Amino acid sequence: MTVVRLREVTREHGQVRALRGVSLEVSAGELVAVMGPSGSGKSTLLNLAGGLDRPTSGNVEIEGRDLAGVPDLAALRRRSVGYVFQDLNLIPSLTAAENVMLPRELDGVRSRQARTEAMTALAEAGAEEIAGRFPEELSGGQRQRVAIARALAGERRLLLADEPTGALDTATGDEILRLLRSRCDDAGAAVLLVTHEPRYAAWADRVVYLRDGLIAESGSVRLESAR
Amino acid sequence: MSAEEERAASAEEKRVASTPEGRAAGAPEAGVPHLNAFTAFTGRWAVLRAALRISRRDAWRAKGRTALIMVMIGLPVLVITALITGRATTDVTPYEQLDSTLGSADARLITFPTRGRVRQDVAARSIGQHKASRPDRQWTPAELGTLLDGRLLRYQQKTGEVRLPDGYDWVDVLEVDLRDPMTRGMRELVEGRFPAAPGEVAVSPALTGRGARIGGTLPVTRDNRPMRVVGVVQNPNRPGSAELTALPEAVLGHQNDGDNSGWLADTPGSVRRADVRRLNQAGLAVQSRALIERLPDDGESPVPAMSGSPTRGAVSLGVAIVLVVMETVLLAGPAFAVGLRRRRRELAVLAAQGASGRQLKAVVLADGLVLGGAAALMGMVLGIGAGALIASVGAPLLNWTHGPLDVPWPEVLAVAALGVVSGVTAALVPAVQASRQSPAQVLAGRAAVDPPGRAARPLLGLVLVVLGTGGCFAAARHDDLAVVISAVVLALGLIVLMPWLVRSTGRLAGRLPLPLRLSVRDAARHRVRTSSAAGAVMGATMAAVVLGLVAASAFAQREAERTSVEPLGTLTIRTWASTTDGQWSRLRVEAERLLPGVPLVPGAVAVNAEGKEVRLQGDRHPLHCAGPTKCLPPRWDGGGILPVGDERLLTFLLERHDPRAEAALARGSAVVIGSGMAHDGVVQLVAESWEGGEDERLTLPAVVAKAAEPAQTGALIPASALEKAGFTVVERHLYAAHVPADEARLQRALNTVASGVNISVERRGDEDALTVLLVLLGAAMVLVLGGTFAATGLAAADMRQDLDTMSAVGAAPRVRRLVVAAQAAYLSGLGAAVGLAGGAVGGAALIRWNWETGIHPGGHPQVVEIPWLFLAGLVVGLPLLAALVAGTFTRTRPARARRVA
Repeated sequence: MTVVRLREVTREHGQVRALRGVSLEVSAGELVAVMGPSGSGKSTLLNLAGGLDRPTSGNVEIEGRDLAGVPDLAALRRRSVGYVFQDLNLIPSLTAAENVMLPRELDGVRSRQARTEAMTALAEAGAEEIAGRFPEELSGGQRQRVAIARALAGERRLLLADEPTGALDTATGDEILRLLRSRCDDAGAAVLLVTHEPRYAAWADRVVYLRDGLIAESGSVRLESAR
Repeated sequence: MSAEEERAASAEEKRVASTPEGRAAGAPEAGVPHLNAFTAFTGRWAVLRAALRISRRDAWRAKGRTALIMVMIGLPVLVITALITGRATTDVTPYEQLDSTLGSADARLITFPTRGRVRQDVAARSIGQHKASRPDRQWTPAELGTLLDGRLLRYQQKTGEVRLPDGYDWVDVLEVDLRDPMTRGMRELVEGRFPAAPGEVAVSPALTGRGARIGGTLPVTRDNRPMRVVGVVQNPNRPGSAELTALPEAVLGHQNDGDNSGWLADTPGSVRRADVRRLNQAGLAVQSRALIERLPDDGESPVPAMSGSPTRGAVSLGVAIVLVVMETVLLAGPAFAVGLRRRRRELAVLAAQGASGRQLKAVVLADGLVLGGAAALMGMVLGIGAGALIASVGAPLLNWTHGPLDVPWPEVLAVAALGVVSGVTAALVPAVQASRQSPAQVLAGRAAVDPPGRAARPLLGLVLVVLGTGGCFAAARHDDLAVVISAVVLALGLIVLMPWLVRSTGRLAGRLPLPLRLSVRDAARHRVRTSSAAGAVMGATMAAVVLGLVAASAFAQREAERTSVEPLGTLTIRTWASTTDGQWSRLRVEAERLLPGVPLVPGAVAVNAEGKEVRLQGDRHPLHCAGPTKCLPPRWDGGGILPVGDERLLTFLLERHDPRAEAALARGSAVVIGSGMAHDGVVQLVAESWEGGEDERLTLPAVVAKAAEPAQTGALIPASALEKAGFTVVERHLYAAHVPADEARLQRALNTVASGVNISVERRGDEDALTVLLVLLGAAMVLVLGGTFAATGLAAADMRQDLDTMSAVGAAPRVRRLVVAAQAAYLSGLGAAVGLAGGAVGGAALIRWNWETGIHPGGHPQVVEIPWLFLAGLVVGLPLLAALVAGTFTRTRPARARRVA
């Protein structure tokens, strides 16, 4: 099942064309890595795929729904999309569990129910034991685990990760990729991963290379040897 | 999507929609057609809880910012709560006064000289009686016994003179046997014992502070009757009063009925309304314990009474609330703006997780709610404590009334609610900004600090400014309250214009030297923070300018209207003609001793043929005068008494020798000072007895002498002319060119020699102007510096990275100081300049309104006094001071670089 589909998507910032007619699909259980030099349009692609931004032309569908027809993108993000960033992922004044339950609470789910779901998501991310800690008491890897748990809490199946390993050492980065991979394989999540590192791209089912706002190359073979 | 996939997707959608949370989410895209009201409510509650949790934790993390906001919001709540609690505590109801007036008695009977029917309210605070032509016989206890069963205890209450080490003074005297159980609670025994014999008194603590002591002797009345001080007692409702207590008739002598005398009554049952009516009918007023205890608590009004109609009162209160909340919001605004800036990315992450614009707004507004609520709660608790403290400390020191702690809860809670409203209002602009921010741009680090928004469109502000200014001038001839309301509209307009002004002045930064350029640019970039702080400074400055202009002009007007026969700085010592010659001689000697080296010039008073002392005044109706003020005899509407004396007094009054006037005075002519009173070579006088009776009119030849100073007017009457008209003249006044350091003390000392001595000093009408302006400047300084330092501190913290970069590329520490000082100078200077403009409009309108009022319709001098020094201090001095202090206390060492973990 296709979770996210971009068709001929263009995004212009004034005179700058960040994306020029990009088409891409990510299915449930699939991990797609997006690579490319700075300014190639990777983050813009991610923002459009998650409904954080709207395309200048073309269309984006999440779970079959065209975002052009969705008036409340925030609500869609709460229920269908999870984001993980390189840093500043977590709200410093909330505990790990509270961070994970936040999107569900924003969606109007009662605290007890949201907490139960958060604990499940944390357990799946292997971060159950740090549920009560604040972000500043966590290591970089632990923070990213919590962020991934938050991105997949509830019913969400699309995870958009923007350089989630950028601030981590190699071993921890590997751990995070292993987790993302397992969420694809075990929970059927669709993951779109932006990275600079070929090492991490090797965990993907497919690698998409962006250059100057265009898909320059798309390889669908897993780089098993690089793991 | 294949058919199978579509089916799966559809099934998945249904599954989500059927879960409780799916329904709670209830958004249209979830496919749920309608919402259950309860789940919608719990959904909103969950969001609010999450927002409040974030705010609470964030407030705890950013302690400095939290403390700043708490002070800005909590301080006004504290001050107002303290004032209204203190006022309610010092405002004593009849119920709270029961012990001090009735002791444990059931009733207090108040007598009158006649026995006409008495009308009274329940607490006998307002009493009326049908007057009879002559007094009745006095009440006896036996007679009272026929009207009311029970035991009676005589009391007398009046004022009397005591001789203290620094002279005679009037004190309260209560005469009742305090040993009687019926008086329990009337006075607290602080030390010693209650008076038990006619020669004994107890004094209040205020008198022990002035030299009375237990075991000592206190001379009372003019006879200096010695009384032995046996104790110190205190009135529980008036701990600061100077009071003597003694047995009945020990100090005051027998007081006839109606002279604050009567009986306390201990009755078998309570004194009911029917009893009171019966006693009223018989000619007695009654305070009944039982009735006062049942009195509804309407005796207190914690909100100061407004003059005029209730509507005007309500409008005035509304204006005051708007002003206080506005200033509070503006003072706290920068802290919220900076808070938002620091949390932008956090809010963007929240948005990425699905927080809608409204939810982001709720998170920022929750900040206002949490901080405003906490500040209001703290301000309320501390305010009640401070109010109680002020009341209990002020009562003995300043002779206030004092009751049990009385918290006017409705008003106190309303003030606290205003604190919460202030917090939420201060968070409003940052909340709207948060809801509008683009998460994608913020996450990419491309978002502008304060997007231009509506700042570029100053239309609303301009409309309000035009309306406010027009309203000020239109209302100036009619209504002061309308002027104030228009000035508030003008102030609001200027606040709305402030972002545009900040933006516009920011454009001029390019031509400034580096530190100023950096500061102004930074201030203009952080427009919300800067506008809010400059708005707070503007509000304080505008209020100070309005009040300063009005006060200076009112004082100048008073001085312009002042007329006096004595030159400025003249001390006049007066006593009555009835003072004996011996006492007068002693008084002169005492005056010379107390005022060594000060030449004393004698003046006289006239006594008519009936032996009554008269006051001489010019006999001209003010409307006949040519000019608006100067034609009037001094104080024409009251004690405009013309002096009587010889050439020594003439020289004193004219401050020079005038041989022509002296010769005329010697011939028996009056010397008119200035031209106002003399017409056709004569002056017409009226001699009015102090004790009433027919006025006598007399016409004297007059010469005109040039006044020593512009405000001088009146005439000097020669004794010989009065004697020729049948009056007796006796020397009873002294004049001196001297201002005593302590007038009250001098008066007490002179009163020791002869009773009825009165002293006065001729002062300028605007003598207090400087004090008032300094107080205004001080109040404005607190607000201006407070607002400026808060905003500058936040700006400096925000700029730390830029300043560190500057230091890293070789900027001297001095440059850091200059940047911060320039930031303070810019925002306080901008606020002060705009406040000056607004204040000038409001002040001019109120001064115009003042011209329309007063006792001389149409004849009021139109005085405008511009207190230049005060304005310069406000508009130039305070911003410079702010810059100086901010620059001095700036941290000049760059922070050590830290690696992000």
